[in-house]
Amino acid sequence: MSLLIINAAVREPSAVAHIIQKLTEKTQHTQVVNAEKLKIRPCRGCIACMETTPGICCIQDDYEDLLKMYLEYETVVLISDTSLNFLNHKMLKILERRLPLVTFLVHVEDGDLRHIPRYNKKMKFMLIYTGQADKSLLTTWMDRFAKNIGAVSGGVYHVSEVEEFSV
Amino acid sequence: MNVTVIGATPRDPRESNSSRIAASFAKGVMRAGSQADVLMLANRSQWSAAKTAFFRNSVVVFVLPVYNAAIPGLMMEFLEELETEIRADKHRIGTKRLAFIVHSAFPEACQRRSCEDILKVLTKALNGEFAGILSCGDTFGMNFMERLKTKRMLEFEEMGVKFVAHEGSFLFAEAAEFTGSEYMEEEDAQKYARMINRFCRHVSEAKGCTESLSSQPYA
Repeated sequence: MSLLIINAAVREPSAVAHIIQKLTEKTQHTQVVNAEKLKIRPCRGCIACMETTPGICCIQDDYEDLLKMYLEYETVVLISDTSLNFLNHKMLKILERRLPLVTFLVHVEDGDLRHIPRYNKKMKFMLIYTGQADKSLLTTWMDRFAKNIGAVSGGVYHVSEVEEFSV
Repeated sequence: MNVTVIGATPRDPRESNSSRIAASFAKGVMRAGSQADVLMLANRSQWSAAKTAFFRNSVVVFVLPVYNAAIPGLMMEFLEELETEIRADKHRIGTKRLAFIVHSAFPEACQRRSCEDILKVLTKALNGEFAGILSCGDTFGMNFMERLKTKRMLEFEEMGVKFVAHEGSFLFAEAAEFTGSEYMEEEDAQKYARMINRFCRHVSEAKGCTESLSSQPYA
């Protein structure tokens, strides 16, 4: 089992540190990325990574390292603060830059049209959040987000639920 | 009625469907005798004017593409800034009707449902009054097919007229029908995928791409 933890949360630092410690204790191969230290600019929606330079984003920043890490680890744990009962803009902007993980081409899967994943890797994404949010909304969203990139959802947990989940 | 139309895509307004839709919709609003301000969040210099218009007008329409089955991060950042201002001076929000035009490249309505649920929750969190969603699929082709683009823009303009007739709301039957089918029939979806893939290869080549669209630079 290998685990990539992307921590974009700045609230509830002690609870977040505790959960990261728990996760790293349980897993052999873990990497923790502090998103605050990454230079990740927002997606421009130009779709060059699908259309003209397949798999490569035209914005050259730390996204490339993150993309390689997605491919290296079995499970990705996202830790995010929330705003207005949903993910805050920082995490949304990080996730937007995952677009090079899918191709321009589409296929039909489970009855829906989807972009064909670029890599032959079934990723698992989990979400841990701080603050107040609509958990059921986050869960539904996570299922859809994972499906859209050919991954599976490992669930959504509040940072206080540290004992309740397993990777 | 004064309507604030905010394009909430990070894409360059000269190339974005949100920008085109916002302009056509605003044209319809004005045709119906109301005022409409159009502001684009991709242009940071318009954020201050967008905030002022948001607080000044009682009806606000956000035009956005579905990103990651959610709203663009740029739009969330704008809403977070609004929330900070609302918290600082709560009575400024007044009774605000928030409506949305959501569009996605794929045609099925199921692709937009998660985003639509998020918009309802965000409206509540901002203490706004939910005034409905005009949900529209299959916008991919609008970038390349002039005839389709013209047809769709006229439809959005008409919706602008009807939005005013319904007192600043998309909560009427014709707006709901705009959504289209929830899912495609399997055979139709397969046919659509084959057509789109031919089209994608063609567009990609025309833009000078010599790589395979399936190449794996980080494998």
